[in-house]
Amino acid sequence: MNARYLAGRLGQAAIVLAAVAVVTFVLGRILPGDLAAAVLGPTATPEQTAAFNHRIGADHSAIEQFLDWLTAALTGDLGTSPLNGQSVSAALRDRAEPSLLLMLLAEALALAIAVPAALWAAYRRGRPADRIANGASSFLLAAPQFAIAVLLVYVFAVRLGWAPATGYTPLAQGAGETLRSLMLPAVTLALGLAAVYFRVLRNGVIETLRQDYILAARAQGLTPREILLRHALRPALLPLVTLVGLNFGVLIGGAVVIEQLFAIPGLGTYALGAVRAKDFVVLQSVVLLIAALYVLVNLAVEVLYGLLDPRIRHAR
Amino acid sequence: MPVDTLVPTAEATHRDKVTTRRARPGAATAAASVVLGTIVLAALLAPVLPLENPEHTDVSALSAGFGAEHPLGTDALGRDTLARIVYGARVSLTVGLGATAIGAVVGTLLGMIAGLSTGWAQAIVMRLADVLLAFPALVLALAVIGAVGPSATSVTLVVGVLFVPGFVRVVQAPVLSLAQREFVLACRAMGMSATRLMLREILPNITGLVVTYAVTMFGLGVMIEGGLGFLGMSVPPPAPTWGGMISEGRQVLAEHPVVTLTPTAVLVLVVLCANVLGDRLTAVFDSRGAML
Amino acid sequence: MLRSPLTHPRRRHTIAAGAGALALLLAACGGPGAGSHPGAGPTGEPRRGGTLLLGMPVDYQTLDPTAPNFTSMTDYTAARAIMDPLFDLDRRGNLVPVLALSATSSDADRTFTVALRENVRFSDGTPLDAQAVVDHYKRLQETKTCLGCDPRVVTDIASLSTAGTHTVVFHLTQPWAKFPVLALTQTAALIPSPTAVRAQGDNFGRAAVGAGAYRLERVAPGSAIILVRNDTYWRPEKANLDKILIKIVPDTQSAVQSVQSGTLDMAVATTPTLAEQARGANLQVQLNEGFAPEGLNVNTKRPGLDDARVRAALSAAIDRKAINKAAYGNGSKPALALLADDNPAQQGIAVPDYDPAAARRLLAEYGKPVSVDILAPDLPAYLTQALLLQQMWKDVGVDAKVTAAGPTLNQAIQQRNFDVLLGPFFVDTTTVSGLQPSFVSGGFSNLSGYANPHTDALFAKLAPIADDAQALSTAREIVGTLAREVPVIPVVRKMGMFIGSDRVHLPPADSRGVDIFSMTDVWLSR
Repeated sequence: MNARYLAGRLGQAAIVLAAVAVVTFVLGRILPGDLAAAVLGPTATPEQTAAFNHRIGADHSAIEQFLDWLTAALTGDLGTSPLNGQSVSAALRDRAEPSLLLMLLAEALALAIAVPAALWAAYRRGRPADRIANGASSFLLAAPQFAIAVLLVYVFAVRLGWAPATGYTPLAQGAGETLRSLMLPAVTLALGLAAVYFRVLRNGVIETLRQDYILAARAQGLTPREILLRHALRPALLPLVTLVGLNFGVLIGGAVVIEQLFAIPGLGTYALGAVRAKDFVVLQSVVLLIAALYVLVNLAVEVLYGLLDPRIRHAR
Repeated sequence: MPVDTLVPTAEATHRDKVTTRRARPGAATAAASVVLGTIVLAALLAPVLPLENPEHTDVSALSAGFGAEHPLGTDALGRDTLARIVYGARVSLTVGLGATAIGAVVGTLLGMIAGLSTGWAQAIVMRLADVLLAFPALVLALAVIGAVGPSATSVTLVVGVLFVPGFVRVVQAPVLSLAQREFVLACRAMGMSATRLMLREILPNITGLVVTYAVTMFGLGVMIEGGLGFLGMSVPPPAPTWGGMISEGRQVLAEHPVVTLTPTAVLVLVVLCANVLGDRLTAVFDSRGAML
Repeated sequence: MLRSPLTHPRRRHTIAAGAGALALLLAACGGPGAGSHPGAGPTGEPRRGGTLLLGMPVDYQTLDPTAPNFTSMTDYTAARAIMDPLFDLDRRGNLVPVLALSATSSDADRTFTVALRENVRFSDGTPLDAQAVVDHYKRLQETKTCLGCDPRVVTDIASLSTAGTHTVVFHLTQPWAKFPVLALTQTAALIPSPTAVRAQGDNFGRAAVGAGAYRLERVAPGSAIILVRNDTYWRPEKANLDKILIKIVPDTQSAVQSVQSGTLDMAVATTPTLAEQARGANLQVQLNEGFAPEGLNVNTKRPGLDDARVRAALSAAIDRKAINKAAYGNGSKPALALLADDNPAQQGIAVPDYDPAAARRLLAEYGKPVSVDILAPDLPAYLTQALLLQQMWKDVGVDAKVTAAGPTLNQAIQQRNFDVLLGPFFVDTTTVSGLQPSFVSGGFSNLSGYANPHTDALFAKLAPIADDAQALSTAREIVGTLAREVPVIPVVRKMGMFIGSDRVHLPPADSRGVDIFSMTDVWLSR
């Protein structure tokens, strides 16, 4: 992956982010509701509403507001939310931490479950173990997150007391506690992801095992374990890497149900709150952050992909 | 899993090649077809079926269990669960089918354009897909649904738009390689128009792929509608939706778990069946491909 | 005050932004609690120490009681722990001295002299003196944004002065006998440190300082509000906890499970149905009944609804027992009156009770078809109620629809863009005088657009009468007129709920709120 290629990809990323900012702006305009009404309540008079809108600059034209936001944002000032006076950059920092950690943990757990299970199932293809694993993955794919969450909380928080039922402990208060607080939400997310990864990897490995070089390896007398780990896994991992990357992006801003159920102050609920209150300042920044994280992670994945598969270096 | 796993499952399924099950339809496929068929039929015939009014509340039968009068019991407002599931299916299926259709048609078209063309057209399509993928799906959903008003139409529209990039990616890669094949090059050399090329030569070759992916996306669409309903962003009450029923039922989860478990089970069943059919189709198209 | 009736936890927790504000005005709307303790909490002498983990369903917005977005139970609970008021109200509506010792009226209720407690300091060391109180009320008048205050705090205080270091004199523009009860308690009377107000300006809502039992350590919106004991509190024996973590837990189901598993010590919820679950898990459950009912604001400007017979018919079509059963699991109480049941002004006066035949008769008298769109906050408890109302009205021949509103709710209310609005009333129901802003022509919180010169005159006549017995006949005339003309239709008494693990000594409900309370009554057993 040469520098020129990378520069090109970065350029594309910048274009995508610019487009995201504009789309956010347009969507922000068509959202129902009114920030002043949200803040001032149903008994506000037109004068109070006008005074409020003047204070937060909402009496400027839409384009002016966008440009104001953009100019300030480019100098590193994301403003404060009129809803609660919190600085947006501080809020993003606070909320990115649990979101990112949750995703990392969920991905790690999902891979830890899916990779061995898929290898085993592929190896025992068609046998009971494979069927059970397949059935479980089909079921998990179809199970709504909230149902998994309720079950996990009941068993592991209420009955066994192994993990807190809700809440997030920031890293600053100790990594151990942070892990404990993210355990149940991460497992909830990981089970669904693991089902997806399992299916992709299992089928990839089965495909690979049919290749001639595997037959050759087998003929050379390599043990099944050596064949699986050394020869079959790596090519089958490639599609998985792409998938993991895509998921990172999707989950960073999209785990709203999980954030709500487990009372985790993440980016998803922050975005949702901004949409509901029509909080323009917050909305622009949080959507852009989520999109930027997505683009970055996928760029990283592409680089990783190139490292894993030398053939890709010259493609495209 | 609602919106969250939109892309994952999408990505997953098109690579999903359950090649172990070869061509013969198994009992699972048959059962899945029967279940889905029954639900589709019931949804279509809902107005003429002997069902109660799904919005009729009955305070004398709150959270009633299974019984003769209400086969699947009632919810916390005494509304007949069976009727609500059947009428809710109309919403779920409309969203599942409609969104898949939007995603498939628009996505396939754009994917073919991106696969066959180079330069600007390709760049624009792929960047558009990137923007859609990078954009938080819920923000998009809320904005569109808020602007248009919550209805089966707006939910279908927004989920359909969210499905487009998945189809683009599924279609673009194989089209890219098809474009290098002799028969396509030959057609081009003979001066066949791009439109004709796409429809006559390329499309038949990717139909299997698109159909397979679409079946799984249908299941996902149903799941997403459930998720949106759960967050209160689907068709507004009192109209029944599965997600809404699950969410409302949670209020009485402790005393009357059945109220929320029944619609959950139906949702799981439908998505499961769609996935089983998707697997089956994959196997069919795979084995056909193998014979080529 | 105002809890946040609308800001119910579940899926729409973010509605807090919008609907929370609705809650607002309810400033004076809660009521005497009716507790029940199935599980057992610690008893005996309060124990000192420990960290309380308290779950709240709505997000923080501001801790500044004068701010327009000071609306939610979360904000109020934290602010009440940080700032003591001048007076509390007991369950009968009598003044209980806190920072103030007494309030005496003179000049025919045009002047009120308030004596403050001496030797009280705010947690930043600033002494509590008459000037601090004067500054606070002046700020209320300048900002004009306190939605939890009686609007007459802004309009009817002509001037304020100090008489010595610890005496404040309020000069009113006109006689207002209930001034102490309506203006020296609750939201309006939470006194902030003047030093902090000056230093923080608009940021006071995030850095509130008062003379309460706890002081603010940190606010993390979306996550938690952290309070620590105020070591200089003037009633040290009342500040029992070392620390209070108010955690935002949007999903009430999760909150109950959190208390069950020990992740939280205590949680506040607004759905009585959850009480069953909590009881089943052997948790302490305390249901608190508000003074104020909730129900329907009828837009008296809409065709059909401008006729009192139609409004009476709508009231008579409502089977309140059924609503209590289906929407509140029998955990609430049907309501036919605005004021508390034991209020003398309310005795024998009620809006038309369930009588479908009478409803049909009234509608027939009116003679034209009536169609009504019910605007309801899209929160489960209200939606449930709205759907039941729709059915009941349909049953008597009214063409009823339900519209659920999320982020657009406040706008719809501001613009009076509704037929009937389901939700909490924006009415202070502790006294008949408190009804004034909601029912006088053009009143601040008159959502019904109700205008009756006769009622206006009665309110004017009532204001200067200090003696409740003397005021009774006028008060009853007002209440009677409102019951006959039905600009609002009470449906049920508002309920709130605390649940707690066995280590928490639960507080009694705040005198006027169903799920707001003072932290000075909470302690932990181990």
